[in-house]
Amino acid sequence: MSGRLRLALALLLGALALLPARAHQASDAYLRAGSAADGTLTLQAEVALRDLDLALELDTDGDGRLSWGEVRRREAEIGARVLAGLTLSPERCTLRPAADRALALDRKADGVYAVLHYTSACSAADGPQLAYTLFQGVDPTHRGLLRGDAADPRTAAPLRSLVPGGAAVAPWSGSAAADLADAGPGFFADGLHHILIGADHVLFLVCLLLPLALGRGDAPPPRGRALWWPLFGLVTAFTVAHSITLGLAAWRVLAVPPSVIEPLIAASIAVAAADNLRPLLGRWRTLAAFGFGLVHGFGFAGPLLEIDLPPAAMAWAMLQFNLGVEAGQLVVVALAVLALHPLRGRGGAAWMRGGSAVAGLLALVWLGERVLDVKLLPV
Amino acid sequence: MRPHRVAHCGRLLLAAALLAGGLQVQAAPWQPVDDAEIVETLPLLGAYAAEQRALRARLARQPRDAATALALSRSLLARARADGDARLAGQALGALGAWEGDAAAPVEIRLQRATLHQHLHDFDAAAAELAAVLAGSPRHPQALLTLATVARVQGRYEASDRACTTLAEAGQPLYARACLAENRALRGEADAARRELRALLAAAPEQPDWAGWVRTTMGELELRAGRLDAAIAELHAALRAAPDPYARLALVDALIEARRWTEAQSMLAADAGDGDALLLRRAIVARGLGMPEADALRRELAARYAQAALRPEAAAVHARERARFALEVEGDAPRAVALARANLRTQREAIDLVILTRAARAAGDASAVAEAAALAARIGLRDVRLGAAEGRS
Repeated sequence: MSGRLRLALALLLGALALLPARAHQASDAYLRAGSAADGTLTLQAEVALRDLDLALELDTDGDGRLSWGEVRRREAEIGARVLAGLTLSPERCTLRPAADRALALDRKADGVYAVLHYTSACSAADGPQLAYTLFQGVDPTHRGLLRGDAADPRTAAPLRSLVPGGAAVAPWSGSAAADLADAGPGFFADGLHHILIGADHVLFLVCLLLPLALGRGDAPPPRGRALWWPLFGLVTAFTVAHSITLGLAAWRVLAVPPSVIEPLIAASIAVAAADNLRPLLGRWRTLAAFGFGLVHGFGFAGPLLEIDLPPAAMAWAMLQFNLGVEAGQLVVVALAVLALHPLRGRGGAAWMRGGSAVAGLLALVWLGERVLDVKLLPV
Repeated sequence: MRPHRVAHCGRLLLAAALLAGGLQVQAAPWQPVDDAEIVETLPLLGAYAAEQRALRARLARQPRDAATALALSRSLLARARADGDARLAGQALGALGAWEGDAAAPVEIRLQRATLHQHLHDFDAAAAELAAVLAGSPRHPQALLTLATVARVQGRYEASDRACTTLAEAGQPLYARACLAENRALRGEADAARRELRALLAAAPEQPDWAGWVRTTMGELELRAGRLDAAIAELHAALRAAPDPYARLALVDALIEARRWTEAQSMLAADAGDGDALLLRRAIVARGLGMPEADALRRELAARYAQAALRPEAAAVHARERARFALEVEGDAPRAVALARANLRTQREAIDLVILTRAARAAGDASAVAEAAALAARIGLRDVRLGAAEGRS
């Protein structure tokens, strides 16, 4: 109808007949907040070449087309013009063009955009605020569409639309580093949860500690130092080992597919159970705990692999996750030792053999399931 | 080569270009190696660019020079309309920035601002601006005609009538009659409105633009009356009287409704633009004819809509086009219902209700059909296309 109005107005005012409106995209710039490996902040800005030409008259030869040379030669000016619209406070956080990232181009559905990179000396913990003023006064309908640096992309907020000259925003709040600086319980809870629901991890731990808690054969169960030091040794070996592989997997240094890891975890339980029935490992038991710990570590890495974090944030996330796993492990060990205590010396060894036999059978079924990719048991 | 061969080659080239464009959308940022490589084509060519640069420079020196600001804003809006380019409309608003929030802004500045708000589909802002203008000069013809149109688009026919009536008192009796006749037609008084519009056509026989305008109004009246062939004839007559892109697009839409695909296609082929509105019609027609480039057109439009929709507040702005795209190109009726509903929150022209009805019927959504009928009853709109299942002529 607006087209009809224009024609009517043109008639009424005696002006030239005007042409109709057609839907077309308004001016948007795309901003992405992020952080570098050392935790300092980064901001990527994508600004349409058309909009930059309006502000800077990039089309030097006036032929209505932009050559790469016309754009490239004005790189510093372009960087400065966009930067003038991106004010970070407090002042020590001021953005600067990233020295190691040259101007690049990106083609979108409505045209070609300049891709610009900026860095700040601040970290997310400084809570910097971004005041957006790009193209203010030139085009009040322009918007900066900001994608924040979310800790967890599964809960990432939608794009925020920044009005030039509008209220300042905190692009890095809710970011991985900011969350971890706030000591948010997210990854700790993930780690704790992961071990407590992981029946195979729990069963492996219980198998390891059964002989210590209940004793082997006719010998009385160990007490005092003879109980606690080997227990401490076993848990420590397992922990150190799975921390190593968890780290390697989470940083994507080493990737082993679940189709290999999952059967190996089942096999580790079967071996630990068999060792309880007939000692196989002897004094190599602690070393075996370490070896199997390496296998279990890959199994733990799953939740961390689902998210994509910069390395610094990943280190924090992993530390928390691992602490959660350790806490879960200690809960399992403490509960198992407490629950088994009444059985000590009252046929404990028989309970140990029976329990190990059941665990071993269960592990063999899991092994079969995981190798053949079938589901037989509810867990 | 014979003309249809040329057209066919052009279509293949277009399809190839769209495909290449579609692939590049997925590509990562790149750095050309050759300084001579053309990386972007700008929309303002030749005299327009020079004229606007000169106006911009003058405005930078004297930001409150109303004549310069208006000249720049009008020049940008003219281009925005021609190219269907919302960026230019935003810049046209920016040219008036010196008077932002200024209650004492000159009437011409306020009117231009209202026109821009209407162009950008911010009808409430446009109506508020016009009310402020009319508070100071109650018989300003342009403000009255714009207000009548804005109110009509919003489905407020009584407010529109009042503005039309005042137009007569403002010394524009012909416009007042045409304005009122259009509202009567919307209310379903097709015969009376048709007689009045024929009389108005005869009232100013020497003016082709006037004839074009009245004929276009009659064409839309016939569409709502369900007389597709009569509508197409009126719109053809409008274009014979005075070439006008709005009437062209209305005719293309009428031909699409009548499934006269090849006629619609030859009209679209004559237009060199690549605005979203033209692309949508090309995609609909390509699908209707089963042309090979239909898929490339669909993907190109989907990419454009997806990018535009990243701006959260833009979702409702072009919902009319996106609803038609969902219904007539993608064949996704439930999505079309949702978009048509969203669209009706801002604009309530007959076509907006018709799109909801058609989408709802295609989706088998009886409550949405009833919803459209109830809204039409509430605003007083009568359109046979909203009634019992329509047949194709």
